[in-house]
Amino acid sequence: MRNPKLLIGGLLFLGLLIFALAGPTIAKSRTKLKDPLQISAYTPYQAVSDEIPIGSDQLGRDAMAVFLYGMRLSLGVGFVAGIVGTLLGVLVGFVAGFVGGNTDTILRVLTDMFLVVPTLPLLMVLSISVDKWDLLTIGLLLGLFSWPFVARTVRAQVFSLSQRPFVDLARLNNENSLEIIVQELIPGLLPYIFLSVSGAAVGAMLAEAGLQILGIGSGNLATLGYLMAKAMGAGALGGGFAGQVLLPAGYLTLTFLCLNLINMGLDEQFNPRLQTTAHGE
Amino acid sequence: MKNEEKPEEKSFRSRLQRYRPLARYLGNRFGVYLFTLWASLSLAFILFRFMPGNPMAMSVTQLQSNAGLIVGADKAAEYYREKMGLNEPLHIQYLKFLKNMIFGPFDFGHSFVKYPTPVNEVIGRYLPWTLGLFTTSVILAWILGTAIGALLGWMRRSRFASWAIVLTTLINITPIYVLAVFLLLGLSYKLGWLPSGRPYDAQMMPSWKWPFIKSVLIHAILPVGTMVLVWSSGWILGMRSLMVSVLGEDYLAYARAKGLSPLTILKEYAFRNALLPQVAGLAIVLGMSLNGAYIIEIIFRIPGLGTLFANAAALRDFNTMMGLLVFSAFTVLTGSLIVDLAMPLFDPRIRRSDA
Amino acid sequence: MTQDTPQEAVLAIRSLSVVYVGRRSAAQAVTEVDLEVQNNEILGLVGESGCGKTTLAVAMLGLIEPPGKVIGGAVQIRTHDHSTQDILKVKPSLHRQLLWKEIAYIPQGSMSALNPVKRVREQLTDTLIEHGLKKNEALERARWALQVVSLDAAILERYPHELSGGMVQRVAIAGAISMQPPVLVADEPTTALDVVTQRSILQELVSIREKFGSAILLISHDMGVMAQIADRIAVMYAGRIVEIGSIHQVFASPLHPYTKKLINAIPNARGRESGERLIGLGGESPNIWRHPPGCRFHPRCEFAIERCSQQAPVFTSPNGSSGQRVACHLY
Ligand SMILES: Nc1ncnc2c1ncn2[C@@H]1O[C@H](COP(=O)(O)OP(=O)(O)OP(=O)(O)O)[C@@H](O)[C@H]1O
Ligand SMILES: [Mg+2]
Repeated sequence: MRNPKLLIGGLLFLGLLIFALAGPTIAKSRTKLKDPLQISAYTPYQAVSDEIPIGSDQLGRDAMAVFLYGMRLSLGVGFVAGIVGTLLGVLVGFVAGFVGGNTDTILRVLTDMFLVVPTLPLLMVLSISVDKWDLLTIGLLLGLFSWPFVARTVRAQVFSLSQRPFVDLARLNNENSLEIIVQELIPGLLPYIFLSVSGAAVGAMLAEAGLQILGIGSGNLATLGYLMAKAMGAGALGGGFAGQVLLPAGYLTLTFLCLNLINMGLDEQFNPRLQTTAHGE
Repeated sequence: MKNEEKPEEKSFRSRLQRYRPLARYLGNRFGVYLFTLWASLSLAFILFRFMPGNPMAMSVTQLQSNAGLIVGADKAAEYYREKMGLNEPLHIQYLKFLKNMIFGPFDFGHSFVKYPTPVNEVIGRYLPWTLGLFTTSVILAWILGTAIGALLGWMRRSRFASWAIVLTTLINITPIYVLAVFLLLGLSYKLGWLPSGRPYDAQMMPSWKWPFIKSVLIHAILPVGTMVLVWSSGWILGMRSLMVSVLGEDYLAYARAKGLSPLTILKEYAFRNALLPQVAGLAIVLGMSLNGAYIIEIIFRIPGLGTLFANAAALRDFNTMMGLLVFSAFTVLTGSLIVDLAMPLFDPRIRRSDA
Repeated sequence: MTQDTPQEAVLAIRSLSVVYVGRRSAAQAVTEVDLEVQNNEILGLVGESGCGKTTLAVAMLGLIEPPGKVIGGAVQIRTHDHSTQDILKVKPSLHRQLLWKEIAYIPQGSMSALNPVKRVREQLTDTLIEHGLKKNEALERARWALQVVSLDAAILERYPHELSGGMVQRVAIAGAISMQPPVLVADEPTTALDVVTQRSILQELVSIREKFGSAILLISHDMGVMAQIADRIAVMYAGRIVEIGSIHQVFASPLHPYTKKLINAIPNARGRESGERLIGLGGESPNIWRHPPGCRFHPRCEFAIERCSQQAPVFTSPNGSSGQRVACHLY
């Protein structure tokens, strides 16, 4: 890997991932409580002390512990949504580009519709009817809204590939053109697929926190967005609990930064337009 | 006789012919608009009937259980059972719903929580805030972002431009609410330069008098500033890469070979061409921007649609939520349509045919 | 310096070198090119694809952009008012005035040379206006130029996508001649056009030379095109000029082994099939990042002697002072 963006982004992301996975262990090691997330261990929004460096949350939990556990949950939501969104997007994009004709038109209008219509209101409506607010459900729900971008890219790729002469040739020879396209397509598409998983994951983490800020979500799934939103709602910024907002916000932003660095690095490696020096040495 | 008529008819025909692609484009856009609008309405209808727990029926039951607590709740429940015809066959319900949407127009009935105020009226009360702040921010961000992006693209080989791009990328990937929080914390709580946390001075009564307007404007600086900062960064990055690719086009090399001044090349050749996708992009991002605007409203406590949405969701006021859902889609779709319809002004290839 | 004609050259390229800068090294795209274009002549520049013709053309207009870089040389042009200017050294504002007025460029692949969102009228008049014409003069001039290249003035109100490829090419030529520049650089003006259109475009160039006395540097990889209209011909290989002479000299008695191969590769000439074209040269096509030492052609040359791989040949005139010159150790 010669690309510095890819390298730095990748290493940093690895670090964040390890931190997230180690979060619960760290939380356990730095508290006397049996369950670091014990409710009402403190009074809600108890002032900052050595024991609770960023105060307690509105359920009286150690906010630091909530943060340490929350990283894993937030990444998990993003991961599930990213996978779901990408699978859906690849499927829709592939069918549209490969089958063409009316199917393509319909899928394209559908994709554009999902791109254009504001999704947050839809998500709000859907999520208030979710009674089991857990990682998988939320990830799935958010994933349902993150496929249009992927679908667009994949469709364009499949479409341009299926226009190439060798595919026509294969058709004439009665060979299986689907197989050829898949074989030709997959290698070229891999960076896009990674791009889309991480893009969809970022989108989902953003949306999840957004939902929390809009007051939807529950303490069962105390993601970073949850911690941040509740603290903000309680006036944390003016009230000395800024850490409860800044810490999760910082972690999320850093994660987005890494994923974006990786994406940009991938883009640079696969998109010659962005290269600044002559090639062919 | 025939021979004399023909040329005239032909020229008229051919003049019409020339605008056929334009007509087709406009017709196409409008068709897609109507279709998408219909699809959104239907989606809303389906959502509100088939969501787990059937919110429509649920809310009626809820109203009944609230009888005595909320004034007129029992009457409302009765009214809704009848008006929504929850026992009627589904297709009748659907047709009635469409009728209320089209001929109402947008008749969502009464707000459950603020009974008997119609949802329309409730939305109308919150709408000006959203429309004002959101529209201002979207337009400001687009103009600023496009202009700055064009300049950075033009100076693509300068050191300054590459640093500016790094900074812009950083802003762009920061979630809008994180930026909002940082700005709020820094400029408002720590430095005390700008007011926040309310839409206008607490002592004032809304009116069209200057002191009030001034107060609104000052309070709007932070939320609008946040939105403009984040959104314009996206436009900057987009416009820059458009410019970079336009600057690599043959017609640009040719423009240079013609000895045109850099200013003309920038304005008439590079900018004008890079602008097209940038305008088209505006039609696409409105929805996503509205998502952000709703969150911003909550953070800055602005009584707009986002706040209303959050309140309605908390109180399970399904009628209002449905109204907001449809209304959000309608706003964004109409905005997109306007942008799309303006596209031919920028692109002659849509406007005219191959004669 | 040879003096084929008593006249002074309108355009003189002196030892011009252009590289493309890479991460670690630089590619020698054009190396120490010397060329003179005389008044009222059509000088052909031939060479296979990738040998540096466009790079040379762009460099002589002073328009090389990164990653390209001019590393040496001069381009002297004799202007309308009989002063001599070095295009590579003049200040930007004068440079812009020289372009189009003194030396105009007809780009390769003109199809994409016009801005798709501006009318032909705007694209012709904006340049004329920036070169000092008044608005109505500019419009008049644009009409006139279109007429010269046999186009209807109604074209002015069209957008590029409403024109055919041949029409676009003519518009590009009309633009280039609108200020009657002493020098025209036409980069493969006929590629991608059908044979009939090709011929009429070439005819257009010849008549322009006759009407206005412009010198034309005509770039092509097609020896056949050259045979039709060029007065003199320069053969380029891997960034260097290897042979130059009048059209009769070069076709009747080519000196450089590469020139011979080019002539033999003309379709249907001397009874050959069109199958044997430039690809039939044999050997690897040159890599500008790594030129062989000595004569750049020696790896593909059947007459190569030991010296060819050690020492770069210099120009000689083996046939006396006839004006035909070649850079080859065989002479
Ligand atoms: N922007 C660039 N960056 C790097 N290398 C370049 C660039 N432009 C041209 N080259 C290289 O320089 C060499 C000469 O290119 P040039 O376009 O001048 O060839 P040409 O003789 O005009 O070919 P053709 O007949 O195909 O037009 C080629 O090997 C090409 O790969
Ligand atoms: Mg070329």
